[in-house]
Amino acid sequence: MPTLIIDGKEISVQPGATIMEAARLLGVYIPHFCYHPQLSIAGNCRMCLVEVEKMPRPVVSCAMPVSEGMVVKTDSDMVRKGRQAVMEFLLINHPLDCPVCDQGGECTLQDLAMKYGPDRSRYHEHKRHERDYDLGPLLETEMNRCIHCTRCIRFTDEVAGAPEMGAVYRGDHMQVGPYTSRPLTSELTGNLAELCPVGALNNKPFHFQARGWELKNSDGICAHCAVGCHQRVDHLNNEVKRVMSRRCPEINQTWLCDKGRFAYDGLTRERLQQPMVRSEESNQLVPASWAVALDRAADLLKRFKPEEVAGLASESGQGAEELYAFQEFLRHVVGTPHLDHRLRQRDFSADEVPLTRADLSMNTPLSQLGKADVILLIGFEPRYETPLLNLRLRQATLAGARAFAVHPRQLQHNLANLTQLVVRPGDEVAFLDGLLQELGSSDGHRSALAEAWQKAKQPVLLLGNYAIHHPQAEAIRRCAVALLERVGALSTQWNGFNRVAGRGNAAAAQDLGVVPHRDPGYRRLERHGRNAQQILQGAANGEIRLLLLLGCDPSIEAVDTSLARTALAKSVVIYIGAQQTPAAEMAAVVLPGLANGERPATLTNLEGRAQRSDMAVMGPVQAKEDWRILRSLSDRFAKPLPYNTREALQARMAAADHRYALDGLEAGELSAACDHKPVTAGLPLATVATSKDGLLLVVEPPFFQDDAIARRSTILAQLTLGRSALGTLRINPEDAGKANIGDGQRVRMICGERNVECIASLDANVPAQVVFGDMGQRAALLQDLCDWDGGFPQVSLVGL
Amino acid sequence: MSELQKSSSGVPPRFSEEAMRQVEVIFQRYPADRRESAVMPVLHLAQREFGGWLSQEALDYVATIVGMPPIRVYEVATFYTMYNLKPVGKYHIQVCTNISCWLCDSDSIAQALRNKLQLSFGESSSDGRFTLSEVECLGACINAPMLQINDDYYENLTPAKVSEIIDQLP
Repeated sequence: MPTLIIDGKEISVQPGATIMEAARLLGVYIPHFCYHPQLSIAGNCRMCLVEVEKMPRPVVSCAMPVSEGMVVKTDSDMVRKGRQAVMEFLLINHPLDCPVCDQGGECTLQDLAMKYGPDRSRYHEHKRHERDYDLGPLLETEMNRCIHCTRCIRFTDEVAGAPEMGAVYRGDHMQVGPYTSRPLTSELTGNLAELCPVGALNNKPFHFQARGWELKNSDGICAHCAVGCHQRVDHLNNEVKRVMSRRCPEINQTWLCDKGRFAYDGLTRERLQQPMVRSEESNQLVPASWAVALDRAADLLKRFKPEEVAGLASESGQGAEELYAFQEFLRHVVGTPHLDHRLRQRDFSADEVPLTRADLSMNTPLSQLGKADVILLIGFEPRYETPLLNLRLRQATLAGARAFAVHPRQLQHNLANLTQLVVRPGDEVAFLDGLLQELGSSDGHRSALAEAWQKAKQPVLLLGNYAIHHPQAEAIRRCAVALLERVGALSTQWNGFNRVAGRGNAAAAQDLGVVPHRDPGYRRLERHGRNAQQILQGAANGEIRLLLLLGCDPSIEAVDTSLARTALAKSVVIYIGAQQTPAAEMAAVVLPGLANGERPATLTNLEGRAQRSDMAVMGPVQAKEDWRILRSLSDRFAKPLPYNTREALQARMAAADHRYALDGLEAGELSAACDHKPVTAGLPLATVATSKDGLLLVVEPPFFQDDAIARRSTILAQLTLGRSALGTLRINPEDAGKANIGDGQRVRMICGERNVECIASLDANVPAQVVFGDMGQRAALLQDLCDWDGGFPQVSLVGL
Repeated sequence: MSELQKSSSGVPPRFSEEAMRQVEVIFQRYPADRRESAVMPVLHLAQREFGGWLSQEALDYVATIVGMPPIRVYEVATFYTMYNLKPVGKYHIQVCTNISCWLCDSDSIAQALRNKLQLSFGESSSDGRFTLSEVECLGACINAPMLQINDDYYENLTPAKVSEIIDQLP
């Protein structure tokens, strides 16, 4: 380990480390623009000059490896003169427009110009004029301000895997940009605005909204998917103005995806402002006081037998506190066992088996994913389910890992070495069974996947949204476990089983028992309640009379939305939630809750880390925290909920599941990831299921519209996932040709007696005899064609 | 210089079979996993094939052939001045005005061309026959002043000789 002295302080660092890295370890700040700890070294801004004794010239500290006995000075006369010269050159072409620049006040160039810049310019020639590009709805460009640090180029190339930025021309004609005005296709473009050290690439929705120094900020945890990225929420006058990333090496490094960064503008849209009750005279929802609304809700709850009451919660948008209070309220205050959060799940057969947390979440921590040598994605599109997890997979593939994807269509991906295996919906179990048999046989002829899997030292297998919500989800899960067991990848050293439940806080809903068969802390119940499917079926046929909804709308989210609508119409609905939804409109009592960002909340990520998110802004004046609503409601019953403060509730959660004991953590410390082994192995494998003939419909949740806040965001509504517009039905071009359906044509999709009208779009990523549509589109609700028990619906198309 | 020009024909550029064979020959000069190295000769070939200049479509086409992101091809094509990013005439006349030619009075050569063709540097004639460009040293200083028309060098020039050369072009 070479030892060197920086500004009189001695430090030993790893061989190969640069002077910049050593200085950062020591806490010595060296000014820089192009250096970024997560990107490759460019060494082109020349701002980080330092003096090294016995070297004749100043050296670029970000690119100079340390050597034994170096004596570095970061603030000598030579250094200051060098930096002043560099700064003078940088400012030659930089416009003096700080007063109208979004970056003003938080600009590295501005700050360093204060220290090293000349107070007047010696340059009297024309300044350079550069062209601005239209980079889509998220980035505003002002390329005259660019100082050619190339961070944006390196980011899109190395991290995002969407090489679209570049440096064209050369010398003093060099221009940074995509050189064509095409919106960037990456799902991580917002990072460019954060990465840019000057005001060249700006956050477009934040453009001219506020000045950096006016903003207050609070530490948040992103709840828009289950990765749990750390973010800084900047707000002014009780309004979220922008979201920036916070560094967390274990989870998001320094990045955020566009969904997490830009969903905030949906926070204030379509909010429930005050409690409402359905008036008996007009049959309309009318505003009421909290006391009246709660009394009415309690009356309704008491009117029915406990077994006639059921609860449905949404896992996204709720804090662990809400979920815990919800299940405790239903189980112990009302006394009903019927509650669930799995509105999208089709296969509930796993409820009969004593599964634990290890079986239901990730077992490979995010920070370890990059070390995998073989990656098998089953029904998982990581780029558009959990973008920050995808970055880890991308790092693994760049380091040489082979990746395989078993999916019903071609994935959109940016992995370096991915083999796509398109498997017809319903054939997955047969496919995985075939793979297991290939592994078992000594026959020489093997597929590439079997070959790679057999040789893998550290394989990871990831089950995604499609696999979790598959009609044979449990059979697929058991095959996945068997595959890993076969290669010894379920040990304590390396556990490659990962069930990636990608919706925000899905893990907390499992941990805290918002399921009909388990209490908090994975204690199995003797008597199982009804699951989501049975609750809605019961409500439709009159066995369930009252539905208590916590932030969820079955008429948009459920597998079978037409069943859900019947259920909502036939039962009495009490709606607790933040957003105005069709279910809230059908409710007898509406109790307005708060959304993430408006209250402190505990959010559990897909590794099983519970994390606390702070409050950023205040919600509608009359709205209350959802758990407090349930607490107040329970006062009207014989056994009220036994906590009055959030702390008391959190202590109770911690007692139920030790992973929620977060008070012992020091500031900045994270709770443990994936501390929940082992995976249950040895369960019998299911008999091989095969798919149906004909045209099958697969309904997928659209990533940028997958939760209540994101769905209402106008910024995210402009993003396309790199495919056809939201809400269209994607068809294989050949299938469309045979059926005489053109791109953009209206079609009627028929399944039995049900039918839906939608717009077709031709998509070469879609295989023959399968069509793909988006979940939860109010204009064309494709789940209307789905049936809980029927697997993938067999449909026919008629052009209109 | 500010934006790539699109081809006006609307026909997507495609290499002929003969050109494709040449591409294969070019690829063989480089290791199989370093196919990107072929981008410069393939661009050069594309420029020949597609009328002496490279439209955005042509650059995108080269990107797919070489297997690079389009922006990486734009970077290469804009870095080197011998890739023409605007349409050029049938005869691309490139006058050297670098030091050796300049000392041998390339100014008079340039002036003679401007008068003869009624064009300034960087312009093309309206009939699409000529494009006049000013270029840096083409490595023929021994016979300065010189100019290049398409692939051919013309050396030891005088204003009278220049006029004759232009007239003799088919």
